[in-house]
Amino acid sequence: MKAIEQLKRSKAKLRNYTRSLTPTEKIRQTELLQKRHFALLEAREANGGRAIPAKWLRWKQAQDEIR
Amino acid sequence: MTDPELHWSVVIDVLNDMQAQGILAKYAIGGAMAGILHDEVISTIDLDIFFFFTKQQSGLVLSMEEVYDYAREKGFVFDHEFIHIHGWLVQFVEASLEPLWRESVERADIMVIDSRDVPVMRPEHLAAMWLSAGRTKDRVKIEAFDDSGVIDREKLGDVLTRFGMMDKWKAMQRGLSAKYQF
Repeated sequence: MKAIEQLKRSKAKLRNYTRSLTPTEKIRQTELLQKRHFALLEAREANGGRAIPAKWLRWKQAQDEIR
Repeated sequence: MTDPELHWSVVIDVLNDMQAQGILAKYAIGGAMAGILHDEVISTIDLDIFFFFTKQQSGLVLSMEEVYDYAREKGFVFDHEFIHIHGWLVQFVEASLEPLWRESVERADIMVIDSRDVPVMRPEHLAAMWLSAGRTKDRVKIEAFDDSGVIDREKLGDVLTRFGMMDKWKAMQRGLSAKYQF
């Protein structure tokens, strides 16, 4: 139980941190999170897990179009 | 085009250009991105832009042609309901006919993001819109706002009352903190 409480506290700390960011920094973190999220979806699929959702594939296409 | 630090800023520049060209009269960021800007960072990939056209629409059916023409002219890719703008999936939602959406755009907060003034829907309007949408993920966003306390109770009560949504909120409010129970 102590470990769970500790984990909850650390999660709350992280949430409070992201909440405290400036709007510009929140956008920066969102764009980073998108890339990490997609990398995880790729890894999941590559390891026999569920396929990457169509919406995320569209996002990847949009990213690839950036010149 | 040079590679900006934030891709999102290019989207805002595009929206401002659409205003300057007389296509959009007014717009505001809504949806999950607005939630992020008021609260915590979550993983989302689409950007909902609620807007009013500058020119009055003449037909009975709303036409998005002006937006599409602009996108075509700029070489943006169309993909189902989204327009790809510098890596973002942008969805344009005409907001003038739905009273809650209309007010949400009209009364949006202005946030300074990457040195740009960006209209962002207020938390109380977002919560009412999520209540109206009523999906599980909308409830989760309301709970996140509850957790962070970004909603002003008085303003929320006002929005819910004026748009006839108080009963729906009361039916949903179980589990929220006492501050947001009516």
